[in-house]
Amino acid sequence: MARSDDEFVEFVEAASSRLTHAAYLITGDRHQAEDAAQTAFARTYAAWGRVRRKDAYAYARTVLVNHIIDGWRRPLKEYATEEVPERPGAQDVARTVTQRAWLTAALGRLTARERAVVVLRHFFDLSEADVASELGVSVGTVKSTNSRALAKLRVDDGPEDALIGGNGR
Amino acid sequence: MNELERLKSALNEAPPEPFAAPDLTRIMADGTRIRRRRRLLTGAGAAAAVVAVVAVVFGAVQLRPGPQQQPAPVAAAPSTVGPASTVPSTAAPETDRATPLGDVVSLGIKNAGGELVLYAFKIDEPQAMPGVGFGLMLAVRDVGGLHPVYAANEVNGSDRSFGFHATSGGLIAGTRTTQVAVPVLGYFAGPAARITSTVHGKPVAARLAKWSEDPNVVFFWFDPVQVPSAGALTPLAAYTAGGTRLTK
Repeated sequence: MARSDDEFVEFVEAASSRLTHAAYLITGDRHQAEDAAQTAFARTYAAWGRVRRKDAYAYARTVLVNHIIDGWRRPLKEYATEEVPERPGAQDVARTVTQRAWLTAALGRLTARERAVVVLRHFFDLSEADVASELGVSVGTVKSTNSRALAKLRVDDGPEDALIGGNGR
Repeated sequence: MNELERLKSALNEAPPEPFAAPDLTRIMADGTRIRRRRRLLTGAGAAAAVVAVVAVVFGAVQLRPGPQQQPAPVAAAPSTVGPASTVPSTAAPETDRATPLGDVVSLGIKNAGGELVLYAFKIDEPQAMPGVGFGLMLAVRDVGGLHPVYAANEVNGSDRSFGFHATSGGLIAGTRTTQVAVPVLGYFAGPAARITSTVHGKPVAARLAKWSEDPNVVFFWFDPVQVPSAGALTPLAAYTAGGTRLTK
């Protein structure tokens, strides 16, 4: 195996967990997420000679998100709703489990674009400008989409100390 | 910890079960295929044809650089996406590709070689694509006639099922000596009277032409100045003449 291939294997092993996780957060489907990651890595390998000395991770992330966005052009499975999700009751004990369940349900109520913005902005910690660049939309669209998504998630974008995911305020 | 930090914490929570490990063998095989086809597209592997004939087929309705391909059947190509997945057509006879089915539509775009036109061409691949009888061809028309440049067609299911088909383009096709900027193009099966998208937040409308052979099929293309690449577009939307949205 060529040296560059060795480097690619190392890259995939290092990056696959987080990228697949991101795909899962955006799609809400394990198999779809694994397929999307697989495709993103194949495209990254196709461009490996060009990106291996640059930011291969950013390249793979962009390809991944764009691939999922492409999927929106197929028959869509959207969960858009005007209603904000109910908070789980305050009696939950296993916080991690509750938090995960809350997150799955809450992300499921966002539109595909809102999920993508939330994941890029708050999972990958990209700036609004970088999110706009990756999605090919304006910064204003990112701001409004993010704001709308957080409202649906009932997350304040401020310093207030409040809880999400099951423990109540 | 505020709500936003808790959201980030929840997003970073490890999944209950680890994800399947990537299949590296398949990834590298798919990646190699994509790379090879990109080289063909850019002309690196092209022979010295005076007029390049690059036939491209895209599955379904996708625009961005491309993922997995299928072994090319006809005018052949990827089951899913992408401009990168272009291959020279070998199976479809040249005469089929240069023979329009129905009217030839001028795109109102000229380059050094002539004017760009769009037309449907016959596909007859009952084994590989039983539901596909036609594809779209972008060609250059000059005094010598039509010179096919870039083809796109449905590869899965029916070519006239409701919705967008063969959406592709937004790239340069041809050889180094004869290059054509291929607009983002495709067709919609259904009563579309307006097709729109956005580029960097700005709305853009496609130009439309009904196919003379079937008025329920509407060819569309975007101005390459407004839409220089397919990757810049957000999902397409189609509307009826009355303004009813046909797609999500």
